[in-house]
Amino acid sequence: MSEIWSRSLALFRCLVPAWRFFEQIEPVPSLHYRVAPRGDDWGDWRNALTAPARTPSSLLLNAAGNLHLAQQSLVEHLVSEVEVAAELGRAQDELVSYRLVCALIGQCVRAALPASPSLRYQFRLAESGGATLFSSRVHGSE
Amino acid sequence: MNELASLRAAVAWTGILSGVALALQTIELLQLRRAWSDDGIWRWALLAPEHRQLLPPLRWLLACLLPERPFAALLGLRLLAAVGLAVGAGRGVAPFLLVTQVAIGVRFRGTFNGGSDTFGVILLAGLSLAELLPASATAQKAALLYIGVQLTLSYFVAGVTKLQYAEWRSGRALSSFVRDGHYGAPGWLVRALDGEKRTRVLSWCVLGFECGFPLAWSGPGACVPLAALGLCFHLGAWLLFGLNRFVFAWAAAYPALFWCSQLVR
Repeated sequence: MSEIWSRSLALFRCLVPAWRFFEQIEPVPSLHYRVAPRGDDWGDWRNALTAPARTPSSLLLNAAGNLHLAQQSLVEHLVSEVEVAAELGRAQDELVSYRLVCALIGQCVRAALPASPSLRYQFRLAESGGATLFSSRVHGSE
Repeated sequence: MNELASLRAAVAWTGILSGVALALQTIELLQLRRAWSDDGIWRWALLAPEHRQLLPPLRWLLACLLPERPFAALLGLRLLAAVGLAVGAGRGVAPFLLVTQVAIGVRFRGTFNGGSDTFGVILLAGLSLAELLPASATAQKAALLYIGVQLTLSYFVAGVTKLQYAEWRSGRALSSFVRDGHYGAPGWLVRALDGEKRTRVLSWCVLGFECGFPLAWSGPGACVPLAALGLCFHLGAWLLFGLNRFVFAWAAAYPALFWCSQLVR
């Protein structure tokens, strides 16, 4: 019950100031995905999030940069929610953040390859050193 | 300038600069429609189940405002309201902008851009109070004080928190953030900040600025240079981390702080 309340309250966290920016060095997880166009013929892991280059105009309008930051924040939420789900014995692929990251990877896959009924993909979260923190289940290109 | 005129000018400038900041943020969100559309990342169908635990009237309100089409319309109206605020013609729009600010936070499961969204709420809460009670000098003063105090706390709390960590005092934290490829810092800046001594000096500059920011309340003579340093600080954060929204959101609070700094005289 407390988890439900904290999740509901978190939706409104912009109402509560918390001025603690960048205080600790916490490794930022990387998001990778790989694709199997047919069968089990998996390709290499690819980086899903690349920071766009800073330009002078991005001081005024930085849609791509802020999307990148929001996606990175989504990945960090997934890391913490996966930990909580594991402790509570919940299915990780039912987490909202899992589904959002899945939608993100779906966009990457659609941009990289033509749609195909046999196409499958998987994503993983990795530490900066490369160690895998979490691997998703295999998804179809639905 | 007499006291009342100075008060009115501070509220007006806070409104103008807040309007600019909010208009830019809204244009960005409209540019990103693909990300929150019905086949985007933050699609309504994936987000709505998380609202099941909310009170029914609130859940109903969110279901009216946050699916793709109404959210696009809400952003369109918000852009008009923000432009109105920026040109000083939007009397009474701050409460509406405050509602949209919270709605955007909920749409992205808390915030879209972290602290800048929260700071937008602070600016708009203060401006709403000033707009709802336009004839009350007390309400105008309370609005500016609220914004000025929160601005000061934003730096001071962040600075004192960082000061507790050895990584910040040694410069290792800053060095780590600069070299972290996730933020996309420009190569020339990474090279310019390469070196233990440089990052330690810069780290202590940040700590000194943030922890010393309450001195801005000692008078305009301290407030103006600290606000100028604040702008440089946010421009640096934009270069390093891409946090462009922080530049405009925090700058919008400086007129309120300037007014607060004159209270001590």
